[in-house]
Amino acid sequence: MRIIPRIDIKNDYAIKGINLEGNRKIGNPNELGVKYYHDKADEIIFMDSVASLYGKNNIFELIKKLTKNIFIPITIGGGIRNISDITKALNSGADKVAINSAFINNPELITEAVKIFGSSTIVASIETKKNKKGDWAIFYKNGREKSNILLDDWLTKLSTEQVGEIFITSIDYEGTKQGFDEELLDKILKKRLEIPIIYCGGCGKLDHIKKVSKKLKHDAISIASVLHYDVLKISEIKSELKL
Amino acid sequence: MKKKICILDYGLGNIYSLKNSIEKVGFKAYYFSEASDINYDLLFLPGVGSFSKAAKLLKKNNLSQIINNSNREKKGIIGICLGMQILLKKGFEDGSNEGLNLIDGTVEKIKAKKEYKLPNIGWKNVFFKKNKDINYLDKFDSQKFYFVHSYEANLKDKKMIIGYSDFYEKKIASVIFKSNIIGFQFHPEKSGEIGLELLRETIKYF
Repeated sequence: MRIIPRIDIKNDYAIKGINLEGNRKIGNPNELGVKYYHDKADEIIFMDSVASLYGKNNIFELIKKLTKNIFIPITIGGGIRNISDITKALNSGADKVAINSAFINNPELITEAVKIFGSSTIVASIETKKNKKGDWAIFYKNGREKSNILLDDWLTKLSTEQVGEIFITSIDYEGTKQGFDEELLDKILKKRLEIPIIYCGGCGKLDHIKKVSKKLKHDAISIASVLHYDVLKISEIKSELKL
Repeated sequence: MKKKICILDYGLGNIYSLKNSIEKVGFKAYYFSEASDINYDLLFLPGVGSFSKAAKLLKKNNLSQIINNSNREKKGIIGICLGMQILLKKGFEDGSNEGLNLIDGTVEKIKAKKEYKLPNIGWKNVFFKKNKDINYLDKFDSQKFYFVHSYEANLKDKKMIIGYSDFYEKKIASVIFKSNIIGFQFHPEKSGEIGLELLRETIKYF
């Protein structure tokens, strides 16, 4: 299982919210990235949390600086709308892009992106939340907008399109530190996807990671609060779990 | 005199991070485009994307010719990931396509149980075989490097495989070598400090 720190960014600051809302500044994204790099992160995900809302993207300049000091795979997400944005991201030093809103608005982009850049560059990002009927609905624009798509259908679609990875955030659990959403995880695992997933949302302590690590042997988890607030170190997690 | 290092920019992948890494270990590199200086000492073939796309791009602009000439002049050629795969004769990603044919073999999808999942992503131990013709790699034996790929290189002459890694019960050709050519299936430029060290030593050697 890979351990991937997630750093949310808003206007040059690293931020952290709860349920993708109420963002609090927690530091400099570059410094955090370098710290996690030296702490043996497998990869790092940077998400521009407002880019898709305002249709702008400042993250490229930041990534350019960042990749001068970090020599592990970097995924960037947030506000990537088209092929030209993907090219810009890669030319800034990113290795992969995570895309949510643009795939929902324009599913043809999935096919096109995978064809041009290859599966391994394209990470489909999913933000999901349980609705009253007990189904998981797909959200976009950093959890603010609800789509008509249900999780099950969307997972099928994304795996048919052969994206490289699926990055799944549980909006209900994100930032809460109450543990990963295991109900959602079990639902996803039932799909027996042939594509690696990166599971995100809710990690508050080592036990939470231990609990999901057996289920996610061939996959990854993404964590934020526990690292930003110095509850855990990646190197500790790895030695505890023998990763 | 410092080596002149060229990164072939054929329109695929994260060449910026490769340039960064080369600079980080104390060398300078420039991108190759049509009008560029071909008097380099060392050529990097990077690459993320599909074999078929890479094959087509290399045919365009006479790039394969330039690479072949460099090989004839025994210049160092370093292939990374798809850049390694494209050194082979043929690839079967997205149809059947001719590679550079500098090394005999084919590139095929990794055959594995479905539950193992592809791409093969993550940090894997790489085991180097002793080879009397290339002696700087011993210290990298059993270290972890970052992989991301769904296709693998099947070499005709297995002796050219000087490093492998495990993908469950399979062995994946991870480092291939033939006189002035070396290829890495993993990404040294994305493999942290040990990856940078490998990059530095490789540049010095070739």
